[in-house]
Amino acid sequence: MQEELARLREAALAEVASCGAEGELEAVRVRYLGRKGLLTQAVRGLAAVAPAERPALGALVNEAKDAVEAAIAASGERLAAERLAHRLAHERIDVTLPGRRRPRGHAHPLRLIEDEIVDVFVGMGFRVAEGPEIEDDYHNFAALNFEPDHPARDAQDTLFVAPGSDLLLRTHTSPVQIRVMRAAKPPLRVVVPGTVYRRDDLDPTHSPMFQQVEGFMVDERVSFADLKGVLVHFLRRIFGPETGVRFRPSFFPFTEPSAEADIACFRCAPTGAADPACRICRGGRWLEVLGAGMIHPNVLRAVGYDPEKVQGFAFGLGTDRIAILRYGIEDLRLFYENDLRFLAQFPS
Amino acid sequence: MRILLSWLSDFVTCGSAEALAERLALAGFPVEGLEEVGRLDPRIRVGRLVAVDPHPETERLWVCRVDVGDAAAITVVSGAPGLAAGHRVPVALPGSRLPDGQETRVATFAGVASAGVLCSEAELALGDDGGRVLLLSPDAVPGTPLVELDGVADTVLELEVTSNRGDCLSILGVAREVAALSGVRLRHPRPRPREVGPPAAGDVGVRVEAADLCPHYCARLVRSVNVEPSPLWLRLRLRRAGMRPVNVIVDATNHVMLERGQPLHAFDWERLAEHRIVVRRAAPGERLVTLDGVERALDPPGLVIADARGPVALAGVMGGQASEVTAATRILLLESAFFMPSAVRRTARRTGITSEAAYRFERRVDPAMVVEALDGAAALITRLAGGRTAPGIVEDPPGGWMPELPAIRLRPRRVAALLGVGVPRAQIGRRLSALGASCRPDRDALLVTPPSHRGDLQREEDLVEEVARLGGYDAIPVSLPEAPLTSGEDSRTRVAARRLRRLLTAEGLTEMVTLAFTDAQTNRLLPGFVGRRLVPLALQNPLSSETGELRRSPISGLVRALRANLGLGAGFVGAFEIGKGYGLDAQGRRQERRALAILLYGTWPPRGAERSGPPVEFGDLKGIVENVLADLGVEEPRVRWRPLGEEALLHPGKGAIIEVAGTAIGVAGALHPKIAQTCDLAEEVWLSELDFEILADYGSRRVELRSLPRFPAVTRDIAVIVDEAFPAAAILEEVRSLADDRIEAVRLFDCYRGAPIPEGKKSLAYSIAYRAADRTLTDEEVSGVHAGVLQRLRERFPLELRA
Ligand SMILES: [Zn+2]
Repeated sequence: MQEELARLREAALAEVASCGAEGELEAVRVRYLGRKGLLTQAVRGLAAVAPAERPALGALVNEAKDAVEAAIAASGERLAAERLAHRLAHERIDVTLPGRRRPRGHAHPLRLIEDEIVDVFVGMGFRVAEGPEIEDDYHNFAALNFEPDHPARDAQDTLFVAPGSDLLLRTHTSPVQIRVMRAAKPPLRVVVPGTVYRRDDLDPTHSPMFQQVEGFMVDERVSFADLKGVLVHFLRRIFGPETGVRFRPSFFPFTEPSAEADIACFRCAPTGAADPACRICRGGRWLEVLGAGMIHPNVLRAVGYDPEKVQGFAFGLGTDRIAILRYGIEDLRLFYENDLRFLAQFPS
Repeated sequence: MRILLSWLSDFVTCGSAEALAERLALAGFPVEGLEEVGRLDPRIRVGRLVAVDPHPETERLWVCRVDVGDAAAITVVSGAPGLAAGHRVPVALPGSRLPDGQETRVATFAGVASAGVLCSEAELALGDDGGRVLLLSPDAVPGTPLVELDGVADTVLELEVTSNRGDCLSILGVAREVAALSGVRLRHPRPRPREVGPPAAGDVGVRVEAADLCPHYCARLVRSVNVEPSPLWLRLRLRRAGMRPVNVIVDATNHVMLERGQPLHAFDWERLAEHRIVVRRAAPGERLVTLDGVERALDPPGLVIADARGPVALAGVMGGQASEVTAATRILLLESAFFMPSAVRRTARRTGITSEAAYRFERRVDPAMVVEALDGAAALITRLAGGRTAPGIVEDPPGGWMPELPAIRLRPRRVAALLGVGVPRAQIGRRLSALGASCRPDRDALLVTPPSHRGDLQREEDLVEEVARLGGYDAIPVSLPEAPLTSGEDSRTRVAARRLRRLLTAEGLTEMVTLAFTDAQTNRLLPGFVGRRLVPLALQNPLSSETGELRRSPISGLVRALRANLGLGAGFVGAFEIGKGYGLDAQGRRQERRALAILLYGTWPPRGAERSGPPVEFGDLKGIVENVLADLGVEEPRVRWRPLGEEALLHPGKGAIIEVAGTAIGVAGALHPKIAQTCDLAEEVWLSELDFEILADYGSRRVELRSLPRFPAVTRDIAVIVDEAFPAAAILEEVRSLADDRIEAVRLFDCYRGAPIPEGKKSLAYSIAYRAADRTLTDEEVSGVHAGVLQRLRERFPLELRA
């Protein structure tokens, strides 16, 4: 019996050692340690042994089983490690193949800039208002203190609609000032993005349709100094915190005093000297970006306010102009021709 | 307004051109250009022709001996006509650089060497005449570089003058502004003619019959003039100021206008019937041939200048041809008047004439300048054209007209309130006085009377601007308003637009902004959705017929952009626009409504290593629209896609009206073949237009959460064979309509045509998920419900159930 056990043990260990795959190991385990395995049966054989010999023989059998089981486990681990190493050595993908990208679309630059502009004002407590693009003479001109036969109307070459009516395509977003102020009482902080129209052919610097953002604030004490403060803050948010800003007198029928704001050319300003060949300012150093002023008393009266009690400022800027400066675009037509190769350069 | 620095310097001492430009820009006159002119090479000199002889060999060439200031005269060969000994002419010595960049050199003409070139004004860029040698003034000293002659070298400032500042449409006006801004003295000479001969009143009559439109009309008589070309300096000034020199009379009146801002007109006195001027409204049927040669019918209320026979000029706008000054004119009637801005503007707009005179009258001239300018013109004409000015001004009303502008009360506290910074009263007074206003104290305020040329100063606020302007806007502090801390707010539509923009770009679509105009035909063929019931709206004054109407649908813009991009070689166009459709409703009211328009065309871009993606199909468009709706919280059961049928908004058989809870919210489908044809499109264009205002409403909805299922679902499939025309959604709707709460979801997962399915039929496969919220469903229960579903479908539809 003892010799038989020793022989079985040696044979099992030898088979384990010769296994080249995990499947073979399992077969060895079944053959020796399974329910009908050779070592398992050896245990059953103990019944036939004299009771006095049983403890010693039993210990021998268990020892043999443990040894075989340990050998199988060790060998299993080794084989698994080998298999993994083999996989790692051979499994390869070509990571340079193109990705299966879903097509990516792009937002229009005018909308991106408009959102950026509006966000700055919303951040300062301005509320967004909108108004119709098909306007009437009253809101577009008369209420804004354009006298019926004043040359100031010439500067706003108007597209008229529907013969026989006084309807027109608004030439600026300012009529929304009138609409908002007639409907609400101060204090007001309002910003108005929108599309406006002029009778201009589409060329590198003109478009019959373009975008403006209007803003105004009316309260008891809002001053020209506040106008400067709000616009300087806005321009530095859009063009950078170091941007130089200056204000010049100007004329608009609906503001008095009136101003235009310029920013220092962001290409020339850092170098200190104007470059006559500069693509952005053409050597002028300053770039006109918006018009503004204190709301004219005639406008305040037109909406039923008392100019002795409330006052405010208003400003208007060309979204297209800001976009042109920000993106360094030289031809306004790019915005309205919608060439996908142009649009694809903007984020989504 | 083009300002010559040499001319401006007659009135005010100004520093460097750059500093002046900066100062004017900061005072409200943006400088659009700063141009150096007449900087001629100093080797181009004044020459005196000593002798002019025919060339010995060649006809039409002249050999000139020219004194160019050196010890010996030089020999110059010229082919120019009209040369004579004694003439002063420009001579370019060898090596001179002409303005066009050419360099002159010694040349030999048929054996005679020419040591210089006699130049025309065109060659020197001083004028247009290239056919003759420029004749200089007889007192020009030989040898003087031409660039040193008076008025040759100059700097032109191009100023933008806003429409309220008509007073600055003159050299004097700008000089006045410069003087006020820099605190220097204004030189303001007022030349007057020496009067000789019989009084003018004996030979001229003036009567104003429309004093409301012309409160003051003045005339002077100048006898014995010689109408010749103007001297070089005058021609140079006019040309550089942007006007064409004509003859010395017209040029002199234009010179005075440019210098002092008052337009003048010269009539040939002999051609005025009865030598009388009547200022009146035009009568019906009257006609006038204006200086530009156009015969015009005059419109009755318009203001005209007439003689005893009829109109001779459009008042303030343009003179008439018949009374025009010509070379034969000997006696002049000079006109200077104040025409009301509205009267001139009316005529200018009616006739479409834009003249320098009208431009100034429309912006109000200075009443104080009417006589001064008339005197200045007479004096200049006398000097240049040898005229003799008759004594006296003939005017209506006699004794003149000089309105005083109303005084304005200016409160220093109003200045402080508007500007946000106080300005002491004394300083306010000083600034306004510098502008020519008279100020006197009135309790704590100032009473300010503006000068006659500042008709734009009408209100307290106008004066506040002047106070700020003279102090410089830079001197106003930068502050932030004191206001309650309230949050700002974007609009509902813009919030929705921003959300959809992110969604649609992630779907691979690119946003476009297209022009709102279209042509009449496209507008009829492409009604879109939001504008489908609107009447197209035509523009009164469109730029072209292609932009003659306002579009009813933004789709028209996307289709145009599609064509442009296909022309540029695009293979896939996926685009959207959030834009408006415009028109008139049944009641004739203007309507404009925002829409979301989507366009898909071509084959999808490749995904990974493939030549291209699959062709775009209706399902792609529908999927995008469904995602848009889902993002706004509108899911399938509430959305219906109803075939377009007779409503030919798109291709009638390949389109759908999209309904949400019974309300139509948009369309989707293929472009109508009739339009596709006119556009040369090879493939189907897939379009959708959704009512954006409705979408924006959905977007503001709150999220409502459902609790998650705790028991497993059981899925059973159904396959049916139906006619080709059978709508797949009918079965979905039917199953949902059972409203059994154990039916959790139903979806179509296959649509198959071909063997073994018979021709004209298709197989549809659906899967139904069954689930109960409170227990695990047993097999028997599911089978029972499923059998009920099958039974219902068999009853309702002509279909064959597949195993
Ligand atoms: Zn620059």
